[in-house]
Amino acid sequence: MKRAVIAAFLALTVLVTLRADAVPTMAFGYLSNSSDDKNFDYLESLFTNSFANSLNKLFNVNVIRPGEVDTLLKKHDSSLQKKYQPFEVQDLLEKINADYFINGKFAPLPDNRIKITMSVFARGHNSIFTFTNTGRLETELFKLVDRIALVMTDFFGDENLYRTEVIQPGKKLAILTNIDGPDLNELYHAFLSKGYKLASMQGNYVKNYMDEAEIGHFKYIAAAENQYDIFSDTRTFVFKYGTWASDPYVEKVTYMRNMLKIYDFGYNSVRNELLGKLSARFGGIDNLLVIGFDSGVGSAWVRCINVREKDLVWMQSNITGKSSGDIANKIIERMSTKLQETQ
Amino acid sequence: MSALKSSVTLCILIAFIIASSISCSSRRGLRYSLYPVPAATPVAIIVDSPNNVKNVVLMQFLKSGYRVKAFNASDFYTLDDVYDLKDFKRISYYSGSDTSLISMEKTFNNIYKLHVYNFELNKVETLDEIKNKYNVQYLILLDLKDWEQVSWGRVIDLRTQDIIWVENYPTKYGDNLESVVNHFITSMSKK
Repeated sequence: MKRAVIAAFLALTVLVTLRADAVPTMAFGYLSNSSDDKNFDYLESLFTNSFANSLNKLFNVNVIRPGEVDTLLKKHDSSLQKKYQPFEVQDLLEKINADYFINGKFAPLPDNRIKITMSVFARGHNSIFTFTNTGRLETELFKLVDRIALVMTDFFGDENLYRTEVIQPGKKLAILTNIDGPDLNELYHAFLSKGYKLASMQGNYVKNYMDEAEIGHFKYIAAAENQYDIFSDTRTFVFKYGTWASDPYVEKVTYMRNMLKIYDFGYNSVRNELLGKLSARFGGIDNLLVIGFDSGVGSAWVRCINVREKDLVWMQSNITGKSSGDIANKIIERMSTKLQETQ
Repeated sequence: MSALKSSVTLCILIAFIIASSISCSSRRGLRYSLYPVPAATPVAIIVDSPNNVKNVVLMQFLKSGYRVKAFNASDFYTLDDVYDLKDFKRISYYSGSDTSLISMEKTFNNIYKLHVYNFELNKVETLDEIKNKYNVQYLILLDLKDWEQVSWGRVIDLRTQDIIWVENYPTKYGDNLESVVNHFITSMSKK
């Protein structure tokens, strides 16, 4: 079981990258109107059709627009829904034979602004990437569409890049990683030399307790606005009760229910409370950087949480270098440069 | 002629072996100091070495005028015995083998992450207690290595819990325990 879990885990750790030799198929669902104002319903398919057109221009991809998805689903006595539970998407992808499914929701905001939340699912993976973008409804509508399409371009690129925040020198960082000793010092040296303050998290002991697979758990960051996380198939959470149930059985089932309640459904609030305490103890952390290195310390991935906002603000994969210091310098260069129009 | 060629080849080989054995670790040294750790400051030192080596290290710091507080890493925490994350992970996956719980991957993933956050919180809380109870200002971590390897050190200011000094020092041919420790003391005591 352990081996199977690790194998599945390793398969999941790499965000699916569009390969040049395979033309992937991206299917688009609706962008559901999460407000009560029906006047905005027309945007539900308009947005996703626009994203589909933009991505079609930017990538060598096969695109299935919402109307076409609906037609394909009709062959399976089904139809395209406005909303899906994450675990339902895998069945949908199988039926329409697509590699990715992209849908989302929008909410009109005051001052004629709109908030768009997009979700990206990959076939065969129980992970979800969700990101949020806000813009003006009338004057910036198509700019917003292009911006979101370009966020996806970065995400589907070799680096699986997503970034919403510039982290300038002077900020206080805490770093979680899987290296120690001189490698960790080299990493710290790069950040300190560039003017960042470093909380001593993990640096306050001689050895590191995490290996490459263990740091991999932190590839998944759950947050309210932007996240890359695993989703559960809640259909499998069946806890049967009956007159036949013995006390030990009931005790075990209750224990498991509580585990799910706290660590799955309630994880964000528990994690946020802990992050708040950690930040306070370390004198106020601005950003938590998780940097996972491969065993040869020649390649790394990054996840960054804004500790005050408790949001995922940056993720990137495949950062290569000759040493931990070399990789750290590349990380610093990226995190401190201003965001492009797309980011 | 052939004998001469063999001699030249042998000389080159010997020279190469000598040169490669004299050279230090391929890793370059590095140092960063935010501000100095002055002598007479109360410090706690963690050295991942046997007791006889620890004594030598502590003696060098005492000789240099630091107020070394009695401190053992096992007072701080015992990583392997108390918070064995590897065992914890194994238990999690063992639970997952229950057929009624086939989709608890997210739960286990989250438990591991929360455990790490909790672990880091416990460490920093313990360090805070040590700072307040024993009036320790700096935590010094040292790992001393033989020739051709890299000795390294790190200092944490317990008032802010920030890292304020790091150094990687490729141990030289003529170095001994005292010289490496003295090198680190000199390095951390200046800006």
